[in-house]
Amino acid sequence: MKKIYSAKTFSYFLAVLFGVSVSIAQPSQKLKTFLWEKDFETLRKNFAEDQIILKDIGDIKQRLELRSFTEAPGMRVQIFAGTDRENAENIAEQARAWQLDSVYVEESKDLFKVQLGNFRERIEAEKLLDRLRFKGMENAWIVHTAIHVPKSSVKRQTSEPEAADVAASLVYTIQLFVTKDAVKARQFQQEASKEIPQPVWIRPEGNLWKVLAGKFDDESSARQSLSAIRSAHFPDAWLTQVAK
Amino acid sequence: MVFAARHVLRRAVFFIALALMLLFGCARQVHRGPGPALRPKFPSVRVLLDENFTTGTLLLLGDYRLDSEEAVYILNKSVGTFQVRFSDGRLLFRSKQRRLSYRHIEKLDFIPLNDSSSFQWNGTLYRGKITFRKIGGKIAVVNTLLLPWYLEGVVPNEIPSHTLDYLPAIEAQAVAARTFAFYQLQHPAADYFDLFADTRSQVYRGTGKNAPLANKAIRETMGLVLADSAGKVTETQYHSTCGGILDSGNKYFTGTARTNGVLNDKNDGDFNCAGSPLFRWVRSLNTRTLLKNLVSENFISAPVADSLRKNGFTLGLQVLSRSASGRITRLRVQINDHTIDVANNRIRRLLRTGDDGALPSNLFFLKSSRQDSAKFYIIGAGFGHGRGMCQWGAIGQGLDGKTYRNILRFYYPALTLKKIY
Repeated sequence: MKKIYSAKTFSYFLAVLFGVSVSIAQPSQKLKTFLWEKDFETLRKNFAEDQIILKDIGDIKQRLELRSFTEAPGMRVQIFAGTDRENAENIAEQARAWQLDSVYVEESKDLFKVQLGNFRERIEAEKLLDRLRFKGMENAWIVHTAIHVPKSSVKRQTSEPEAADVAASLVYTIQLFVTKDAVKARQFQQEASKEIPQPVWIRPEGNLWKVLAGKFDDESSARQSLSAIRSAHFPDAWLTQVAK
Repeated sequence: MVFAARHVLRRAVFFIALALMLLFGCARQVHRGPGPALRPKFPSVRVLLDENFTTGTLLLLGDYRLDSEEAVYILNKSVGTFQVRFSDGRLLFRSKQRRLSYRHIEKLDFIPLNDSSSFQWNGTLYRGKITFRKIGGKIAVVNTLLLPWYLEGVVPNEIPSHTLDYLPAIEAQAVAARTFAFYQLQHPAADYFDLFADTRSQVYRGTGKNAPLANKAIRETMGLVLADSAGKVTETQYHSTCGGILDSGNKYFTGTARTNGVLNDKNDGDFNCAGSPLFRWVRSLNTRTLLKNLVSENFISAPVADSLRKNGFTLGLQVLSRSASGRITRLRVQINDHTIDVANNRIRRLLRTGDDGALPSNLFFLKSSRQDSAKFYIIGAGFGHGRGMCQWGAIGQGLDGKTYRNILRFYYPALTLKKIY
């Protein structure tokens, strides 16, 4: 007998689907409220830590310390392999300056390798590889190796957004124009699209319409495009961050 | 005989009268406008282009006079581009057409012979005079020009000046920049120049920038400056973006929309400077980058940093004090058992990230990372010191229909407009 789903069942299904959608959308709304709609004084009172302690375990311990991690088979992106340790350390330092997490200098049989990341899935490793190649690191490649996997990650229960989530939810872009007139924003977008190669998009923020160019994962690639855009008839262009 | 004498007399009178008529008729004044005494007298400003010059290029694009001990030269584009060098106490100008060398010169002026004369210094276009002056064994390069021309080189470099909708803000900026410059004329930075060409005074990049709206704003506000109740021109500060909260350090606030001694930059509940690209910003730093910055800012030595990197360290950051507007004034850095206190602008330089210069402002707070104990985040607002006029706040108010007079009254409530020329 053919099963017929009642309207009631269908409504429950929609409600569940809606609930899931809302919960997925929630972080973006939280971020917007967190950053852009509150007085800075309110933000600071609710979220600031006016004292923080950082721990750097040092190069020696970083190679030996496994207490926080277990090892598992996985992949990393290797950007250097050579016999000069100092060279390897310098390249690793550069990678850390790009705000890349998980930078390792691995020593094996007089060879020093600089490896980035801890990936279980190849597709995640390939994302980093693409970023590095965009930065000009044509010789970066994916290697199979033992990776660090956190033993446990206990997330503190709090309603405030994790700062890392805040930062990861932002993208660099180039602000070309801002107005309170949606028609002018659209006109500017159409004109600008003819003159620059990056996609030009409009972002409404409150009563403002911002015309933006491009989306960049990191600041240095955004800055390179900024110089070109300023030269191409947009001298008032400026770097900014917006929620993705 | 009598008849002949009378005839001669009549002829003489006739010719004298004719001569007088011709004389006064031809000398009739043609009014073409106010005479020199009535034309507005623009003040001149002296802007320091280089305080320790060694090499550069100079191209004269109009007629210039150069007075030196041995001769007076009239120079122009025909002499070509001078390669200018100062070394071993000698100032040397060399082009394809001309070579000039000075060993014991204290000051060398290239004086324009007319208003349209201009010159290129290191590829940037300027108007007015260029002076090479020996100061304590070094050579300083100074550009002297009329105040309106100077403003043409300041306004478009201080505020976005290519959108018509921003005109009220650009006009407000023209008044603020004119006021700042005029104040500096009365309190010059040194005896041989009035203003720096960078953020130590106002950003001035010559007069070659094509910014018709900025020029219009300067014309529309010609001669207007801000003055206190005694009529004295004041030091008007301004900045890019206050992040929604102005710094109460400005002595010209007498209290509009003020809460706890601080001025919120809002209009009908909306932040005036929300359109700024740096209204809010987020940066992240790790221990290694901070360590590198501590070395470059001379807080710790490179060998100490190397040892810390190798063996590991604990690094604490503590906000010691904030101004009434929330801007950090003192920050403590603790590395193991070594304490360093950092104040004001040095905080912004110390916490710079790898890609960029200093942090945009001192209005920020810290957040540790729950996932990485060596990493932290800086969540901030605004760009600049927060005192005086917020430029992006002015743009926002202009977009709301406010005039430059409304804008200036909002940011400088204790000051009024005064015409100085």
